[in-house]
Amino acid sequence: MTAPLALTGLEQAAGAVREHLDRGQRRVTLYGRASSGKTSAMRLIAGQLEAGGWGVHRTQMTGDDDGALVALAMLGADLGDDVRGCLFDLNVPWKRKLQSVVGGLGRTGGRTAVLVDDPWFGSPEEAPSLFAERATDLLDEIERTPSLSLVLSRSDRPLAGTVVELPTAAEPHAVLAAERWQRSSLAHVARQLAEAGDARLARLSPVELRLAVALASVKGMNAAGALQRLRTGPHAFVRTVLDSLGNARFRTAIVRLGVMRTPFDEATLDELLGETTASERGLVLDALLFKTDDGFVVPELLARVAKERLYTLRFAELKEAHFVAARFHERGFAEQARPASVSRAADLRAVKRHEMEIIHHLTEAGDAAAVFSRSVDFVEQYDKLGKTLSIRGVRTSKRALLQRAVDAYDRALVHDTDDPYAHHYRAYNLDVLADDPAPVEEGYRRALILRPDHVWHHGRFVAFLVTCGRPREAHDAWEEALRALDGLRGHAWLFRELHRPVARLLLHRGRLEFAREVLDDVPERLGDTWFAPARVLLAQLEEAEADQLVFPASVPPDSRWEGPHLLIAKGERARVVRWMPGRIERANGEISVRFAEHAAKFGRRKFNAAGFRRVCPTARPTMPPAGTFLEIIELEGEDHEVIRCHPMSTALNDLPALFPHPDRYL
Amino acid sequence: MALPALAADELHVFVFGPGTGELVAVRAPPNDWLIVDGCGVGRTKYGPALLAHYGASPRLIALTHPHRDHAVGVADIVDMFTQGPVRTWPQIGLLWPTPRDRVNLHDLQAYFAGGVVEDALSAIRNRWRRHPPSRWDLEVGSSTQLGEASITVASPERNTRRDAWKAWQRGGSYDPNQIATVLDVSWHGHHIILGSDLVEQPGRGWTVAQPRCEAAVATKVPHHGSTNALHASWIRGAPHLAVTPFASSNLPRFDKTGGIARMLATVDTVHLTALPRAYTAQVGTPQRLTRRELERLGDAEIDPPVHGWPDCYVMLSIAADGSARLDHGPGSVQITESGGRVRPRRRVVRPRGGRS
Repeated sequence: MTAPLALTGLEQAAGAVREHLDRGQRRVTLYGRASSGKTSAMRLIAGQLEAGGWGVHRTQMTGDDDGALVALAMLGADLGDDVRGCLFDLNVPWKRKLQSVVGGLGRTGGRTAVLVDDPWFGSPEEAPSLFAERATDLLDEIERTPSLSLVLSRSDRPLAGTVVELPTAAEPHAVLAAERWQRSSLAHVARQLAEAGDARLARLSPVELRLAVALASVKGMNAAGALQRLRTGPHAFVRTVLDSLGNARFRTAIVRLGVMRTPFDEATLDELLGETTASERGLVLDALLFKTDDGFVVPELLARVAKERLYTLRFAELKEAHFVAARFHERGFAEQARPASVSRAADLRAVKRHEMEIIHHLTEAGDAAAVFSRSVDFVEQYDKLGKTLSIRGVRTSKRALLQRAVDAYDRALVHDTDDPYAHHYRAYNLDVLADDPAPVEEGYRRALILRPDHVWHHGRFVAFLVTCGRPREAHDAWEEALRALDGLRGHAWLFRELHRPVARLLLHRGRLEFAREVLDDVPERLGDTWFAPARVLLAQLEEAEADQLVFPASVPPDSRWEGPHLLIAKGERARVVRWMPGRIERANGEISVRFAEHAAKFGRRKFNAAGFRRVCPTARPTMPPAGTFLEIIELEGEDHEVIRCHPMSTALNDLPALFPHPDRYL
Repeated sequence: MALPALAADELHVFVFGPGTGELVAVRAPPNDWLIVDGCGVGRTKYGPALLAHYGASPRLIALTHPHRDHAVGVADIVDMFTQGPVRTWPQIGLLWPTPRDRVNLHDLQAYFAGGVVEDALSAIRNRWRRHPPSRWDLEVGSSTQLGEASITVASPERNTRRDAWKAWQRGGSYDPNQIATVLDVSWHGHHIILGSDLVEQPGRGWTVAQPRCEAAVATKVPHHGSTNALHASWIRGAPHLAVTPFASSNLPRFDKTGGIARMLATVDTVHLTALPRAYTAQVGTPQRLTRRELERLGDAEIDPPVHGWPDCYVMLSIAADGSARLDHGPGSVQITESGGRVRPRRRVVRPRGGRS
């Protein structure tokens, strides 16, 4: 199956972009949803601009943490030896590399456009990471250079700036045309779909049309049935298609394709697919992948969903998929790196791309030794390795992985002693390992000096000090964090990354005054799901501190004394003479109940097991544990009080988890 | 009511206990302080408040065992006095490793207590790591100087510690009070036993500790005067007995078989820092009551209530000749067996044995 040139309006969109640039616009965004043909459109734009006398540089971000590095490397590979010498020198920091490359682009003379496919900025819902900042740096630096214009292609709609929108639909009859499917076992399904004449077909992209063919073929559906599944939107449709693909083995094989970020060859396809039947392979080739001049391509829409599911693979399987990918790029590197080839800029780009992909796949495979044994061009590649190992170490509770993450950050710091990310995360991994707090403190402090504006640097340092029983310094660090991050108070992630972990730890440690101070600083609208349970826990613990904990969190404070809360029958309510809230504070043979007669008068009662069971029928056969809230109720006409127990409260279920565990240094 | 003035040539022992929790502070001439455990009411931590009142810095700090009623404010004291250069840091005592109560969010009172204990342990362990000379291992039989006085660790024995630790690691049951640290403060041949929460049952803790404890001028009664903690070793010599209450366990008990009655069989008066009830229900002025009156008192209110720090303490002052004087803070109760006025007196307990 060839690339989907059945998209209508690409030429028109490319022309619109070119016109904007010709009129002097410095930044134009080409917006189109996933798999709507943005890459094809960018190729057309490049062609049109070059024909119009523009200098054109194309690059692409990968959507992973190395997105900006790959994009910069591809841009720099086009430039002269002086720029490349700086760019590919591991000891040169990012800012200088960036200035060198963008300066080089700006010096090429005449009108120059930089085309960036799929720029990646991280999520606006999260605090910006080092890697997202690198991407922003790159685009900012290009925009700051007066002789450069910037064209971005994005599948998330920008809220501002000059935007050219791609048409969302293909020409369905062209996509489903018989000549496109003539060698495919799915030809009859494509024909049925085309002949159905459903109006919805005209709203679909080529990828969606092909996925509809795939779905209809595996489920034996008619066209209407397959199209019906598209009602939930393209991403959900892809998930539906994936879920429908025969057996788990085949579905997993498709997910493995998600590791590939560049076009790849047939041998790699076969290795990733593993054992598949001829019909399954046919389905992949005819309906799921595109074949381009550079090799097989996983369409963006499918790649996104497959990538989401990579983490459902067993680690050994994921690791092997990345090794397959690494081997593909090793072959490509060996092929391209022959001295006769690399004289051309295009070949140098290919060599560098293969090199960076090898590092990426070895990193994702968690093979630190393999990464360490290779030359890398960017300190950030060690940072990325450290991050990958760390996340995996935390998820699997494997200390060896955390130690290897520390090794990766050590490597980064050898080449850039001022890398705040490496200082911080080296410290963080050592903090989780909890062998020695001294280097942890040193790393956190150094990162704060280098980047005092980063929320994680503050949050983790404050938490570290609290963990170590250093509340005074923790409070000073907290005040400093609020000062340094004051300009970020509009973001919910500030409170999630700073206030949430600090408050949770302080609550755990019984440092309630400080915890209240932290929670009081959170605007309620930005508090997220963690905020309410944290406040509930604070209120409960304050009562525990005062030895006045007699109401469960499930009873709202305003209606506490409007009880009893555990009576069900109306008739019973009318017979209540007196009731008191309480809590079992000890149940080790003797049952000790803390109770309140009213908001200012508290008392204790002791029961033996038999006595307690007599007044509390639900205590048979199992005695409620310490911590159980209850009500002591005196009813008219009864010769003794009764005790009723509250069910376990769910009010604290959404409390954030405590990690790393606060007793790790003990 | 202000705290009493200190005499430069006397040894002073403060025992605080505001209903729940216990703090013992020793000021040895010339001006060296030992802080043992901690307690607090609301946000007032008694240890830091006491030291701030006298403008003092501790030479020694000890956490006798990892229970919340002894751990409140310990992290704060450790933190407060480890801000400067390490040469000025106190020595900080803790048995390590030590078992701790396992807690979870289903029992929030225990969860809160567990957090306070963890905070104290973390503060101590952190200072040990940062400045190893600050470590005071509380090895049984070891002694350390506190000004002119010396502090000897009288309990627990190594095998008891080891057994408790193993039991905890196995998830088995154990009583942390079996491994509570007992300190013997010695000055001019006079001894004061700080009994922490060491119990006789289970574990025969006091039978084992007995040979290491000298006859005392005064004893901070172990484990809030529970019958499990009673033992002749710390009552012998008819010393001054200071007791802290533990409200949730209703300790000490005033009935005729309870701990107070047993103590009053040997001594005329037992000095209780506060009643075994909530802090807000404590008495605003020092009281003198008989055991029977207390037995009948129950939860009955006595006015006026305490008005806040400093309160709920008994202070013992010992001169070099062994004569002793007691001061009583708001909330405290002097308990006698029979009625009649308690005669304030200075009593000399002759030192026995050679340790000083």
